[in-house]
Amino acid sequence: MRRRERRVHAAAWTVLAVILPASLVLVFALAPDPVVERPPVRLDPPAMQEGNPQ
Amino acid sequence: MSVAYKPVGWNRNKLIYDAFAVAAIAGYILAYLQIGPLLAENAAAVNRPILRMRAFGTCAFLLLTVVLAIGPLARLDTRFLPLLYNRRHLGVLTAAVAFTHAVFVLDWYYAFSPTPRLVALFTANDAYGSAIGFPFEMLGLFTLVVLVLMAVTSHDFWLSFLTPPVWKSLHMAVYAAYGAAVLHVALGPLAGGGERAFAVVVAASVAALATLHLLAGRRERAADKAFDERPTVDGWIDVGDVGDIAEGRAVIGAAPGGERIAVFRSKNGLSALSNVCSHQNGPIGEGKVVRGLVTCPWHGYQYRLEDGCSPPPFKERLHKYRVRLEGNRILVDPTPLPLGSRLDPVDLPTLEAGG
Repeated sequence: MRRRERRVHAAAWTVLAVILPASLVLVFALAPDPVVERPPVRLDPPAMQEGNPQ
Repeated sequence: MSVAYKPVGWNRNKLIYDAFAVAAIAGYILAYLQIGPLLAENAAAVNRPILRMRAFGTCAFLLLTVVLAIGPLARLDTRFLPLLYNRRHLGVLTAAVAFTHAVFVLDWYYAFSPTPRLVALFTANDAYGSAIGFPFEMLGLFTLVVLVLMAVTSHDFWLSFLTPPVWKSLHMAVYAAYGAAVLHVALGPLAGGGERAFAVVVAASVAALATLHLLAGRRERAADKAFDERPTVDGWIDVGDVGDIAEGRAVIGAAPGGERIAVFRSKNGLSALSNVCSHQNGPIGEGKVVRGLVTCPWHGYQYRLEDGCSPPPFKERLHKYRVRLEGNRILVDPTPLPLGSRLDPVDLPTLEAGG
C-alpha cells in the first residue's frame, strides 16, 4: 500500500474502533427489555374482502 | 495476470478455495436451520422464514468479518497470504449471501404491504430522529449496496477501467459498510432482544477486527518511522547490508516521507524497484524472484528486474531506482527513473556472493 492509503486505513479503523463499541454499549443500555411472548413483527395481510379470490 | 479479461481465471487453487468456501457457507446455513432450533429454546419458536433470513444474515456478517480479517492477518503473518490471493471470491460470496438475506426479508416482512415492497422498505419506518427505533433496514441496505458494488467491480477489468486509485477508494467503502452492518444488527435484531449469542459474536467481531487492523497499522507506522530515520549518503538512502538479503528476496527502504523501495538480490546482482505493485499496491518487496521475475505476494503479478516491466504480453510497469554499494551497505537513489528505464543489476563482489 502507499503511505497515504496506510494513513487513511489507520484513520478509518481508529474511528470504527471508537464508534462501534460505543454504539453497541449505547444500544444495549437504551434498548427496552424484550417481551418474551412478543410475536415477530410483520405487516398484516389485508382484510379478506368479498370477491377476493384468496 | 491475464491478457484478455475472463470472468474468472480458474486454477486448481481457486477451485479448491471456492469449493471450501461454498461448502462452509452451505454447512453453516444447514446447521443454523437444522441444529439451531435444537440448541436455542427461542429459536424453536421462531418460524421457518424468519429462521432462514437470520441464517443468511448472520452468515453474511460472519463472512464480512472473515474478509476484513484477511488483510491485517496477512500483514502480520505471511502464512495468511494464500487467503489474500483469493479474497475477492469470498467478497463476492458475501455479497450473494447478503443479497439472499435481503430478498428473504422483503418477502416476509413486506409481503402484505399495500405499497410495493421496495417502497414499503423506505416508508414503513421513518423514525430517523430516534436512536433505538432508527430504521435499521436502511443501514443494512447501505451495506448491501456497497457489497454488491464491490462484487460487481471486483474484476480486474474494472480495476483497469476505473484506474487503481479510484478503484481502491471505492473498495475502501467496505469499512463504512462494515460499520453500517454492525449498527444494522445492533439496532435491529439485537435491540429487539434477539439472539444473545449473536450479540457476543458481533462484539467479538468488532473487537477482533479493530485490534487486528490497529495492530497491523501500528506495525506499518513503526516501519515508516524507521525508514524515515535511516541515514542518507549524498541524498542516497541506506537500505541495509548485502548480507541481510537472501537470494531471490529483497530488503526494503524508503526516502523520508516517500514511498517504499525494494532492493532484490538475484543471481549475484542487486536491482531496486518500487515496492508498490501496479495491480493493487501490494508490497512487492515481500515477494520473491520466481524464474527471474519479481513476483508480488498478493496476487502473483510479475516484473522483470532489469526494467520493472511485466513480461510481454502484459503491460504493467514499476519504477526502477539506481543502486550502489559502499562496502557491504546498499545505497539507493530515491529519485525514481522514468517507467520502462532499463538498468542492469549492480554486481555483488565475489566475497558477498555466498553470504
